[in-house]
This record gives sequence, structure tokens and C-alpha cells, in this order.
Amino acid sequence: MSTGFSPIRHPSFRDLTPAGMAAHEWFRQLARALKTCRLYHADNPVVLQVRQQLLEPLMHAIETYGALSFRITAAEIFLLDEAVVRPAQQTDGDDAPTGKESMLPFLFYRDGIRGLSFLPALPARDLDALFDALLAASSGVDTHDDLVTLMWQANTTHVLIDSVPIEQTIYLSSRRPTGGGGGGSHQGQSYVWSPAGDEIRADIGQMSGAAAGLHKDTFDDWVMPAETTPVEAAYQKLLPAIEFARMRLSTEWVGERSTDWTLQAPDVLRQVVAMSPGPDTTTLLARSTANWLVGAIQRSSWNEAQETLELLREFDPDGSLTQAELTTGISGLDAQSITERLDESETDDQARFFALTVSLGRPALDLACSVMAIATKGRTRAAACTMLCYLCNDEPELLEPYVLDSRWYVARNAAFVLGQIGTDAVVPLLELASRHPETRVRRQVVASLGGVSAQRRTPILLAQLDTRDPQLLAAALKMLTREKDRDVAQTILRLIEAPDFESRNEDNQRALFAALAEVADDTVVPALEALLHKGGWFARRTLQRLAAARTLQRLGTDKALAALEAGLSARSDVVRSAALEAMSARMNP
Amino acid sequence: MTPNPSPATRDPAPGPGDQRCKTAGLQLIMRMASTIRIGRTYQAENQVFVQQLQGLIEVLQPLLDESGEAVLVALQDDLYLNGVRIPVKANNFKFHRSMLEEFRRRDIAGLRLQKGVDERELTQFFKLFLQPDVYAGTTFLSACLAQGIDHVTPAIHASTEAPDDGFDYDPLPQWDAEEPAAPSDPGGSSGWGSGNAPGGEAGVGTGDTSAGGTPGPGLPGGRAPKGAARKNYAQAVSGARSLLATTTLQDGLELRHGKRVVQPLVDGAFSGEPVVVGLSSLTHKDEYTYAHAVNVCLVAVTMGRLLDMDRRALADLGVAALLHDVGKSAVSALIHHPIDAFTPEEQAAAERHPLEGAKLIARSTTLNQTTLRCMRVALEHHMFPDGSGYPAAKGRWPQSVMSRVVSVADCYVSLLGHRSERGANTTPYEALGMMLGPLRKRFDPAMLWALVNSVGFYPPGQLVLLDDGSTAEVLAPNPVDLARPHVRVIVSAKGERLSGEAVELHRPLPPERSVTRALKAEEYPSAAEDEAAA
Repeated sequence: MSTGFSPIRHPSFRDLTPAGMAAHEWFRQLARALKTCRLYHADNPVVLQVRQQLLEPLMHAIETYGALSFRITAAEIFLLDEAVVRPAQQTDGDDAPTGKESMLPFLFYRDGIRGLSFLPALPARDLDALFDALLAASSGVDTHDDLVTLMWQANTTHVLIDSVPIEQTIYLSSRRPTGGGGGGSHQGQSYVWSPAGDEIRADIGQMSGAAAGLHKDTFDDWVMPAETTPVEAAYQKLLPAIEFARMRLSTEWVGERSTDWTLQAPDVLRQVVAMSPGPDTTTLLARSTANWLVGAIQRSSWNEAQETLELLREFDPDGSLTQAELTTGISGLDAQSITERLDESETDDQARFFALTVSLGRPALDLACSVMAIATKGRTRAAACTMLCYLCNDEPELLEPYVLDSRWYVARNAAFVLGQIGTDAVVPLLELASRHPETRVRRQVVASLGGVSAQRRTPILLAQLDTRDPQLLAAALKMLTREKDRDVAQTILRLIEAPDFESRNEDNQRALFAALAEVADDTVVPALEALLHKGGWFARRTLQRLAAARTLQRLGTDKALAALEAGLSARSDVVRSAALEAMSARMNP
Repeated sequence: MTPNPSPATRDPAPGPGDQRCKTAGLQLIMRMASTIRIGRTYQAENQVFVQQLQGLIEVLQPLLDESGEAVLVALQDDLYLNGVRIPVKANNFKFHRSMLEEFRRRDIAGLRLQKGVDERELTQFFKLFLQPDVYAGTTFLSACLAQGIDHVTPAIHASTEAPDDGFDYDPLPQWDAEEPAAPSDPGGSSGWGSGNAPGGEAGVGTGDTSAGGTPGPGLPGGRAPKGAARKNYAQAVSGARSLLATTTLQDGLELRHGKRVVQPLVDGAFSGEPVVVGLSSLTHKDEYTYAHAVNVCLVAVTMGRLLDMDRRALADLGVAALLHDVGKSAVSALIHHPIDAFTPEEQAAAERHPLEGAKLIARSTTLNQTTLRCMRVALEHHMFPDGSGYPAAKGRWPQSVMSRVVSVADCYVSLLGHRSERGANTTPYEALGMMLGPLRKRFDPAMLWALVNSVGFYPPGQLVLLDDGSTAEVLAPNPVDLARPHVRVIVSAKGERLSGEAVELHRPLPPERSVTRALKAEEYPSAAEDEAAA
């Protein structure tokens, strides 16, 4: 029994045979094409180009090497014994690390495909079918169709798959088969085939109780007529009308088949509600519609999603029936792929998405935050931010979970959005965010406090003054020094007087003194004067002394200048020198 | 890090049927992997190892209670528990891999654990299992048997192919290559009457499904389908059972599964295989629903093919046909009388089943094209083009084409298997006559045309009197000449019962021969006559 898992280290791709190398290159191209096609609309010229480019190298490989048959394991795709696709790993001397194609084997394997063959004279239609199936299966959307079904539906003739069934009868034996067939001798062993000589398949459903499942069919639903009629004669009677009936039916079927199901579904759901009015039905269909909406969002089908949302509002005008479902469903979406597509979308498409999320309201918050966090394009992030502002303007507390998010960029984005909302209502959340361990989040908090009243923001800003991060400190001080404030001055002064002040870097120290000069009044003069004279006879030339003198000079009040002049006549040279330096700065600003 | 599988006791029945197998399978391989790892470090008597065994038994117990055994086998790169493939997901892949590797090291295909297995036996088993260098392959099996380990045994070989000797195995002949068999051959492929003899019918197809069994209601002398058609039919019944049995009112429908179920049937329809032969194998009562759903599916898919539907549409049609009556589960508890004696309340409840079905599908699935088609079929299969039927639609509401197909197929199959006294004696020909006679106005003529062209004038299973006075069983319709089906002569013109090689086959009935008339139920040979002929 082969497990298909090869513990051996793979040789370098450079050592593959020509056929293996061609296959390897083609799978790489396939993976890249899938990625591209996930990002863009099907009618995008880039998509059309990458799809076309897939056919030629494969055709060439088939022409050169004959039919290609691959064996698929969970992590590898083999051409004969060569792994042409394998897990991402850096092998010795291999200059071609595996890329996106390393995801392909599991995509096939997961749905039960164990073999894939391309036959000569491969038509483009068959490759397109395989590509479309892979695209659908890897999109993360619940299509109810696995790869096997998608390929079966496509009915390809030159792309063949070998798959394992979901369930099957398995026969056990105490010996290996002696040759051919699946059976084998089992004489001489007390253990032969499974009991009753048949299969191991459990008798599901029936044994587990008739109540389980949907198989309770206990009554007839068609009344049996009392009479019957000779079939041949009745059929002859039917024939004259058949031609017209078949034509009419054919027309109806074509019309029905060509109508997008998304256009039919609202009428069907409304009909069900009309037939069975009541809260139970409404709730059920509202939830079903909510699931549909979630699926449409995952498909990035924004128009469909918007129309589904409108239908949902018919069943659930205030959102009370489906808010939980929507929130759970949307939170579970693959935000990465949605965002990647948004990044590559035209602005119109982006606008549709953002309009949709604003209409969705609270349930879309998670997705909106994820998009803002993941987006790599500035315009996507900007639009996401605007959307979040709309969503949270009246209830900024909705952002609380994101402010506390351990991912710093999510918390930073939330703080940014709070800053854009900008009323005092955001202060408690910014206060929470200000305790985030990541400095970049705290910097954003400080910036976001700009729109908040000085009275509310000051305590948060003061709490940031302990930081050693120069940018954060500068930003906080800049905002604190917009107007004179005695409390702020006292806080800064306490920091300056603190024993660990000297352990701060010089820029920090200067920044604090500068800020003090901006916000302080005469009440700080004695303290500054003390700093100027600190040390007495043993005073040394320090940054603090100079900064204290300079601060007195910048305060410029009579009391401050008097203190400075007193410094000029101090017994210590260092003090006098500092005072003189400050005074001269006053004379020559 | 030690895997921490959820003990089965915490979630003894996460879902019925196959879903349970899948869930239990995942738990089992996680627990097995954990037990093996602990067993390498600790002695078998150590409490840590004993706890692992207890956990293993907890996981196994619900499965053993339900199925009597748990068979975990590897086929290539897949693990199957009781025939159901354990799904591979990214987060459980390492356990799959580990289990496959353990089996490979011991040169075995898997393990079979039977009801009654206890801690002592498991301990003994693992003592051997944990010495792969000493006990592998048949040596391992012999050692288990020698130590009296009866309830846990290694399987040396596993195959999807049935044993080829000693089991009267029917090698699944293709339709065209089928050989005649004695009408009452108990183990053969004919399935005349009871066909579930040991090693015979049950060894074929998927699961112990419907091939064989007692003749179904309304089908005097019901027969199992043959060859590939029979295999497809058996697989479909099994699949339908999984689909319907694994779904409760609370669970999601496995439409993905459903689509796989109908694929062979659609393939059969495309290849011209007379898939409708499955119609003749309605089996014992417990299988009624599954067989009914599959038979409706068979007829509908064949009709759809005649109406030029493509594969995708046929797959949707097939799934919709399988699910058309799911709403019955919501109302069946309210109905206690046969349809002829329904009380007004019962009538109202019965008429609610299409609506309940549509709601159930809406609740259990995510809307997409397939589910919408299923919903419409469930909702509309008792509506008629003239606006009659039930449930009453609000405003103008045209019945979808698929609903019309399933409506006709459902009605026909229901008449075949009607539970009424008359129904028990209604032949396929009479049922078809009812469709074309008293019920004709209810259906689109194009649909009736498709039905007749699907099953022929003389549907499979029907006994007919031939122009030479002999009696024949209809095997399959002949699309070229509906009046001359494929038949097997079972009673000669002289009144002799034919069996074995004496059975005369006509594929189809040649131009110089014709059917004089279809036999009525009371003219069918009795079971006693069958036995006598055998």
C-alpha cells in the first residue's frame, strides 16, 4: 500500500526531466493565472490573456512528450515519479523556490481527485473547463459543487480526472490477493471477510432511528384513479398535439435556463412568504436571504449583494431577525481575497462595495475593518476609512473591539477612524487605544485627539508623556502646547524634576523644556530657578541647567527674567554661564 | 503537543448517518494517533496509556452501538470509516498522514473493531500493534488471533472489488453482455423475487441497499436492475439514503453529496443505458422513501434527457427529484389514514408538504441555482399547468419546466408504489395508462410524451403476452419502437416455465414479433410457481 507521502527530500527542480520541467513550469503558470483571475473580472483583458497563454505551453508539452498523466497526493503532483509540484521548501542548491502552485495539490486532493490526465489534441474548451472549475473551487465560495462535479458537468473529453467516491463498499481480506482482482483466498484463517460475507458499509439512517433524517415518507400524495386506459391508444391520441407542445416547452426551457437565478430567486421567496404568511416563514426566508447575501459578498458580486440586501429588508426591515446571522456570516468571509479584488477593482466597483457595507451597517463592520487593514492601495484604504466613519459616526463604541485588537494595524486604523469622527464621544475609545502596547497605535491616538476638546484630550496626552518614543512625545507635546495650561505645566515640570529625567535622551529632555515654556506661567519660575542653581558650588554644565535657563528666558515674564538675572550674579560659573547664554539668546533670537 | 480529540461522549451524535461517520472518523484517527504516540512512551499498564484507551473506547462506542463495528481502512491515500471517506482538511491532514503511515509500517490495510471490544482486549492489541518490526501483515493478524483478540483485528487487504471466489459473486455484467439467469436463482443476477441471498445481491453495489429484497408494492414480481444500470441504481439508492438520512430538520443538506449521487444516473441517461430498469426494484418497506426518491430521479433524468436538457441541468433536476418530497417529513406525524380516507386536517397537512419542502431546502442550504431549482420543484410538484393543484399560488405563477418533469415522474412512480389496496395490484402498464388517461389533463402533453418515451408502452418489470402465446418480462424500453421492448420470455407458448439457458431473450423484440397485451396483476405467476419452476 502506497501512502503517497514521500519523506525524501525532493531534488532540485533543475534536475527534472524535460517533460517534468515543462509540467512544473506549466503548473506554476496555472497557479499564477488562477491568482490573477481571482483578482479581476472575467472580461478583463489581463484575464483573457493569461487564460490564453495557458493553452499553448500545455499543448506543446503534450505534442512533445505525449499524453501527460499526473498522480496527485495531498502535497505533490507527480509526473511518473517526479514531483513537478511540491510543498514550499527551499532545497539545497535550488534557486527556484516553490510558489503559489504549492497550493494546487491540496485543491485537487481535498475534493477526492487523485489523478489528472491531458490527452493529445486537447481542445481549448476542456482546459477552460478545468480552469473554471479550479477557479470556482478555490474561490472560497460555497458553490455546492466540488471539483469532481464541476469537471463532470463540463464533460471534458481530453482532460480526465481520476477521483475517489465519497463512499464505497470496501471488502476486507486476511490475505493479499494472489493475483488480479480484488478478492483473494482466505482459507485457513478464522478471520475472513466481514460478517455476513458482504460489506462493511453501515446501515445508516435506518438503524439510527427512523426519526432521524428527512426520509419520513409515510403517506401517498397522489390519488390513484379508478380507471386506466390502453397506453398505445392514449399515446396515439396525444401525438397530434405533441409537436407544438414540445416546441412551446423548448421555448419555455430556453427562457428559464437563460434567466439568471438571482433574478428568479426573489420571486420564489416572495411566493413562499405569500403562500405561508407568518413570522416563522419570514424569519426562515430572511435568514436564507442573509446567507445568500453573504455568498454574494464573497463572490464580490456587489450588485447582486445590493439587490439581495433590498430583498432582505423586505423580510426583515429593521434587521432584527438576521443581524446575528449576517454578522457571523460576514465575519467568516475570506477578507483577504475580497480585499485583493477590491484593490484591483475600478473605483465604481469599490464604490458599490462601500455603499453596500454602509447599507449593511453593523454586521459589515468586521469586514470593513479587515479591508482597511489588509488593503495595499491607498485609495482602497481611504474609501474603507470613509465607510467606517459613516458606519460608526453615531455609535463609535462599535469600534471598541478593533481598538483593542492585538494586530497593531487594526487598532491603529480604528484610532484613525475615531479621529475622523472626531467628537468627544470617541474619547473613551481613544483612551483605551492609548494604552495599546504598540507605539504606532499610540501615535495615531495622539493625532486623532486633534478633533477632541482640549479638556477631554489633555489627560490622555499627559499620560503619553512618559514615553521614550521621540515622535510620540513630540506629537503629544505639540498638541498639549496649543494653549497655556497650568496643570499641563505642572505635569511637565514633575517629569523634568523626576529622578529618571536624565535617563531620557536629550531630544526628549529639550522637547519637554520647550513645551514647558509654551504652557507655563510664573508658577513654574521657582522650580526652574532651582534647576538653574542646582548643585551649588559643585554645579556642572548640564543640559537641564541650560534648558532651565532657556525656559526662563522663553517665559519672558518679569519674574522669570528676574530669576535669570539672578543667575547672572550667581557664584557658580556654570550657572552664570547658562544664564548668560539664555540672555544672549533673548538678545539675538 | 498531544492531540486533544473531543471525546465522543461530549458529542455522541453530531449528525446522523454518514455525517456521523465522518465526524467519528476524524475523532477516531486523532485518538488513534494520540494513543500510538503515548504507547511509545508509556507501558501498556501505565495510567496515562490506559486513559488513552478509555478515550478511544469512548470515541468508538457510539459507532459500535449503531453499526456493530468500526472498520477503519486505508485505500491508497484515503482513510475510510465504515465505507465513508474521512474528509481531508488542512487541520486534520497530519492525523491522516500519521495513520496511513502507521498502517503502511505494519503492512496492513486497516483495522476492524467490533462491538464488545473492551479495554483489556485493546491493551493486548496495542501491545502487538506497537511492535511494528515484529508484528506486521499476516503475522500481526495471526498473533492477534492466537492471543484471543477477537474484537480488534487487522485487515491485511482492502479492496473495492468483491471477492472472486466462493461467494457467488455476480461480476456486474454490462447490460448488453448480460446472460440470462434462472428466474429464481437465489444468488444470481436475475433477482427474480427475492434476490438478497448471501454473497449475491448484497455483494454488489454500494451498501446493503436495494438490489434484491422483496417485491415492492405495486410491482408483482419486482426485479432488480441489471449490470451497470443496477450498480448505478444501487449506488443511487445508497446515496439517496445518505442524502436524506444524514439530513435532519436542523442540519444542512449535503447537496454536494447529492450531485455526486445523480452523476452516474445522468451518465446512464446520456449513454442510452436504460436507467429506468431501476424502477423495477422497489424493495422492502424501509427502503421505500429512498427507492421512491431514486425512482423519481431516474424517470425525471431520463425524461429531461429526452427534453434536451444539458448535463448541468440534469444534475440539478436529479437532485431536485431526490429532494422533491422532503417536506413530508414535516407533516407525516399528522397523517394517520390512507389517502382515500384523509380527514380534512390530514388533507390540509398533506397539501402543506410542498411548501414545507421548499422552506426546508431554503433553511438547509445556501441559495444558488441548484437550490433554487430544488426549492421550486419541491414547491410546485403538485401544481398543474392549468392552475389547479396545491399549494395555491398567489397571482400568476407558472410551474417551472423542472417541476413539470418531476411532477409527472413523481405521479407515475407513486402510482407504481401506491400504498392502497388497489395499488398493490397495479402493474406498470396500468400506471402508465392512468397517467395517459384519467390524469392526462393535469400534465403538459410534452411531459407525457417524454414519460412514455422514457419507459416505453410496456415499462420495465411489466409482464406481457406475446403474439405466439408466450409470456415475457419487459427488461427495458426500446426507444426506436416503443411497442417492441427488450424482453425475456419466461413462460413458453406451451405454458412451460423457462429457466437457466432456456430463457429466451429479445433485445429488442424483433419486427416479426409483437406484444399482444400487457398482463394484469392477477395473471402474473405466483411466488409458489416461481419456486416450483426453480
